[in-house]
Amino acid sequence: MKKISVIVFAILMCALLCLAGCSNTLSYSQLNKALGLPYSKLQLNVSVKKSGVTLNGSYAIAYNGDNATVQYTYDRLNTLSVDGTNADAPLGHVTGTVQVNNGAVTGDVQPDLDLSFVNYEGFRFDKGFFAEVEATKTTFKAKVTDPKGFLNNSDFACSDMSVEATVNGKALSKLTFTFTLPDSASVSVNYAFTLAQ
Amino acid sequence: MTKRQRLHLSLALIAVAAIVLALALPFTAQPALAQETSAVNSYQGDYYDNLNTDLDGEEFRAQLAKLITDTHTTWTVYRGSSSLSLNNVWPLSDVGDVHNPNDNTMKWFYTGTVVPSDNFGGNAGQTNREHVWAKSGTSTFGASWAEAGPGADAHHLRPTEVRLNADRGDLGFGEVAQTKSNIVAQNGSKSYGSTPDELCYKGANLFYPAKGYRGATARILFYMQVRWGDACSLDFTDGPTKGDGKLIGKISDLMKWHLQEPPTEEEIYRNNIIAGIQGNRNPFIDHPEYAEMIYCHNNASYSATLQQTVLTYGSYLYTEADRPTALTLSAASLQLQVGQSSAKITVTPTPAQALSRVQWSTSDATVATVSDGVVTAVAAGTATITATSVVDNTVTASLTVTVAVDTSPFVQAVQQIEQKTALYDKYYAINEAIEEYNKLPQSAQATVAQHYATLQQAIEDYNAQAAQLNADLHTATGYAAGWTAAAAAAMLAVVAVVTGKGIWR
Repeated sequence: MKKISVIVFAILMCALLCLAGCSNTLSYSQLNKALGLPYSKLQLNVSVKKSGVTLNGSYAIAYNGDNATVQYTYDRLNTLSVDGTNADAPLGHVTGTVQVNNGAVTGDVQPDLDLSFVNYEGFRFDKGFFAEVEATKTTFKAKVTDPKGFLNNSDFACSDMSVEATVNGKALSKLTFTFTLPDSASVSVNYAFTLAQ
Repeated sequence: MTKRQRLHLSLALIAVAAIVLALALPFTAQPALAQETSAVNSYQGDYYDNLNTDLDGEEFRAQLAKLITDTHTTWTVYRGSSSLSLNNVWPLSDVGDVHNPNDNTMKWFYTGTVVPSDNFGGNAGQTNREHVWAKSGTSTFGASWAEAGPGADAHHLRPTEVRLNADRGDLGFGEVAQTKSNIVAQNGSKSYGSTPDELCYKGANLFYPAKGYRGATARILFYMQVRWGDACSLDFTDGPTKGDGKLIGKISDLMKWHLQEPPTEEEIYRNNIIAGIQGNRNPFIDHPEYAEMIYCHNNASYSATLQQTVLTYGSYLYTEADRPTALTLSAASLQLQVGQSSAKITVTPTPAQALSRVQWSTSDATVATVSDGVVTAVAAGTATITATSVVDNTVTASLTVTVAVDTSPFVQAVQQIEQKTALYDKYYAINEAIEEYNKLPQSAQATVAQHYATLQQAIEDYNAQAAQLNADLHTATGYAAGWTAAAAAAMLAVVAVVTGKGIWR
């Protein structure tokens, strides 16, 4: 009888452990799978703040198979010349639309803006990249201890990076990370995903 | 007579000659002033009492035009009955052209030839009616007024010989070389005068009346321009004219004739007769000074020329007591910045009771201009401002104006940059300084080299900060988009070329 009790207890403990394994928090695996889903729309907002000045970039990407349409607007500080005609205001805006067809970009192409791809699929959620993780069933929040690993970019140079993700079902709905560039500019990056129907 | 008596007599004669010479000399080299003839300003009525004679130029002309228009109550006609009761100007003898009522003779206008007053007609040698302001068919006054209104205004209809009238045609008036070939024949004759001045001449575009009719011609034209100028667009020019009935020249010759030949008793007599018929008067016969008040000061292109004409040939406005011997200005020199205007420079004449009215001029209008005694600096440099007496153009006073460029707005703008800390504030302050710098003449830019260097450094600093922030946004976007480092570096190289700044260092 005692043996049966031990077996039952062991079964219960296993069940409990299984329940614990299937806990109500997001797993890294879920997040990585979510990154690879076929989203139909992506809204990317980038904000840089330094010396009291904030510059914003906004990119609305609509995917259609291997093709995409990107509507963009981003801030550009005007420079000054003693000989030329200078703009009345310091802050200018660059706006346009480009079409990406199999990597070829046409439309309002800007020389300093490569919109041929947005490769967020390269990001990796891995236990070793984070600290101070706070996860729920739909949210993931952490300090990024290995930004190069997280962004899969060995040249990435920043400090004080943190990440926050929100899922809706299996798909990502929001992904935000903040970091500080080496020149102390504060950066905030926000993605809003729309899953293909 | 003893030798002593002859000596005393000789000395006395020399003294008398010296006194006579001394009395004559003071004004021989000076411009003529009003001749005190009985014909000048002889009008004693109240016709002009309500005019404001403090006005001049177009303002005075306007009120004079209103007076002689409002009082032009009876319009004569050019054709019709010979009865004066129907206001027909055909019997010119009835509108004051009778020279001698006792023997029924009259004088042809322009020449003064005495002829019978009843020989009107259209044939050579007969008398017809000359429109002194040529009507040129219907082009000057219009079809409806060719034989009424201005076309029949008796003030400018004068009797002339038929062929001479045709030769004058629609020529303007002015001085023409008094050569034999230029003589205008009267009734086929070129010997109706015994001296050159008693003959009429014409050139390609001008008709030159005989002496004695030049001033009268001018006053008729002045009347026409004031009375009908607004309704018919009549005006003067200082060039020769022919065929343009609305524009008559040359006014500088007309003004000269007006000054040289004051109104005659004949003009005054005729003016009174016509005033009795039409109701209005020719004011330039009653007040010759009105022509100066209007045409020397109406800001027309010829006004300055006419002012010189008055200075040269004399004025109806001024008397000998008005003539200053010297003028003193309230400032001997001026220091002005570009764009700055002085306080009004006042003129003090010597003697004190002389007229202080002057004409202002500048030696270099690109440096400084002057208007009514107020000097305005235009550009860096030096100019001489001169006041010339309107009574005597040999009496002048001058001052030197030195115009400098005010660089303080630029200097202050540069100093403002240094007080700004926020990036946007710096942008606006630098831009303001750049604008102030570019306003400076090249000569002045060299004087602010130190502040310019400060400005250049501020521009460099700002541009570097702006480029870094632009690059930060680009870098962050690249990270967010997962661009590869190689691609990002290539793009940043493009940015560096565009902005002129190395930012990937």
